[in-house]
Amino acid sequence: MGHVKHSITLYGFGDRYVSGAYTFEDILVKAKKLGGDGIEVVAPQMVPGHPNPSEEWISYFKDACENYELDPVCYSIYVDSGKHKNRFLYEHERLAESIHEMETAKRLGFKIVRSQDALLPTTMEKLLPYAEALGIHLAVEMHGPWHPSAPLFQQYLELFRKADSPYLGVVPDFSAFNSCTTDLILNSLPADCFHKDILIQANECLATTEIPVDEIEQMILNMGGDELDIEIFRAKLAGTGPNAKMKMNIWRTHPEFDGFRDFLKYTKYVHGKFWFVDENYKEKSVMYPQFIKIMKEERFNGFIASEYEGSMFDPTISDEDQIARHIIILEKLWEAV
Amino acid sequence: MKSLEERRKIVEPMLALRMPPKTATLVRDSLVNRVIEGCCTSYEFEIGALSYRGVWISTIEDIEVKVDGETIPYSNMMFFCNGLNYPIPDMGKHSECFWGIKDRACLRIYRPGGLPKGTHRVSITIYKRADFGHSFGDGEDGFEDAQEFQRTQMIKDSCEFTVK
Repeated sequence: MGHVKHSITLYGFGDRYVSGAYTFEDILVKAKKLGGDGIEVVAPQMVPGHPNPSEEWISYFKDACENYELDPVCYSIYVDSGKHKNRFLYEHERLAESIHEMETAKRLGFKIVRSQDALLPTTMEKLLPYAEALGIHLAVEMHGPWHPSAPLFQQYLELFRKADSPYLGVVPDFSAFNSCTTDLILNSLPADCFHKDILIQANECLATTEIPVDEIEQMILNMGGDELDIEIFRAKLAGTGPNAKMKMNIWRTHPEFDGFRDFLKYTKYVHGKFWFVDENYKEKSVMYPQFIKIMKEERFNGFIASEYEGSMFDPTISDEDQIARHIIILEKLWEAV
Repeated sequence: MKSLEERRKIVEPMLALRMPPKTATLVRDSLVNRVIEGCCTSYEFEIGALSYRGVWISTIEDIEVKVDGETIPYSNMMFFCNGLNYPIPDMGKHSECFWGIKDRACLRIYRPGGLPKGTHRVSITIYKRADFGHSFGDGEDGFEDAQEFQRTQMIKDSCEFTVK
C-alpha cells in the first residue's frame, strides 16, 4: 500500500457502534476491506469489561486480528481527571492506571499506547522503565487546544530530548493544527434558519486567508447574511463569542509547522484527524499537503491513522467512503510531494 | 425564511448545547414491572450510553426522575450496572465502576404493584462531570482553575412508556 503506513482507528466507526448499527466484528471487517496496514482501538470505547477485559475477549481479539490480518498498532488510553470530585488524579493513580493499561495493551498485541496530555511529563518519565520492559512505545497525544509551543508540550519535548528513547514519544493529532472548523458543524443546525452558503464562504476565508475576523463578519452582512449568521459564525466557526466551542484554536493559514517538525522526531504514530474529504480529495480543515511534505522531508516511517470524526456532526455521511477517500488523499500526497 | 426572532428562538439554544449523547438516555420501550414470585414491588427502565466511550459512574453527581409529573425520591430509586447496585447519592464514591457503552444500566424505581397498565411519562435529568479534559494538575494542585471539571453537564430526556 504505497510508502506510507496506514492505520485505521476504529473510533471512526464509533457513532454507529454506539448506536448498535455496527458490531465490533462488523468494524473489523470494514477495517480489513478498507485496507489499513494496522488498527487503533480506543480502549474504553470498544474493549468490553474495560479496564479489565476477560481472558476470553483477549483471545477473541487476538484471533480476530489474525483471521482478518489486521495489525494491532495503537491502543488509546485516557487520563480520566474527572473521575474524582474536586481533584485531579494523584500521580500514584496516573502511574498505576497507566501501567495497568500498558500491560493490557501488551496482552492484546499492541505496540504503541497513546495516552493524554494530563499524564504530565514527570509521570511519563517514571513510566519509561515499564515501557522499555514491555517493549511498548508510550506516546502522549498532542490534541487541540494544545499545540507545539504550549508550555506543557515544551516540557514534554524536553523530556523526549533528555530520554532520547524509542519508547517515549508523541502522537500529533491534526486537531492541534486545524485551519478552520469543519463546515459539517453547520449541518447540525436547521437549514431554513440561517444562510449556510454564506457561512461556508466565510469559513473558506478563515481557512485560506488572514482577513481579520471582523472584516469577514462585515462580508457576511454584505453578502446578505444577518445578525443570527454572525452569531453562528462566532460560536461555531470563528471560535469567538459566548457559545464558542471550548478552547479550540483555529490556526487559519499559520499552524505551527516548525513545531510539528520538532515533535516528528519523537513520533511513530500520527492522528490524521479529518472531518470531510470532498470529491476532489480535499480536506478543508487541515493543510494536509504541507504536513505530508514535512513528514516526507523528515523521513517519517511510522503510521498515519485515518481518524474520521465527521459522523459527530453529520451521521448521514458514509464513514467507509470517507475513510477510503482519506487513505487515497494520503497516498496521492505522499507520492506527489 | 422565518423572521429573525423566530429563527433566533430555534437556533440559540442549539448554539449553547454541548455534544449530546449518541443514543437516547431513556431507552425506548425498556420499562417493565418486575415480578418476583408473583409479587411486584418495583419497575425499571434502561439508560442509554452517555458518551462515545463509556463513563465512570463516579462522574454522575445526581439523577432526577419524574414519573407522571411526580418526583421520585432517592429512597425509592437505585442505579444498576455491571451486576451491582448503587443508591443515587452514593454513585460519586464508586470510582471502581466503569459503565461501558455496551453495558446494560438501568434505574429501578420501588413502588408496590409497579406502574399500572397504560401510558406513563418519564423524565430524567442526569448531572454529570466530564470524565477527561485538557486541564491538568496533581490531586488538588491547580484544580481551582479546572472549570471543565467543576461545571456539570445536564443530560435530559423525556418519553412515554406503555405498560401492557
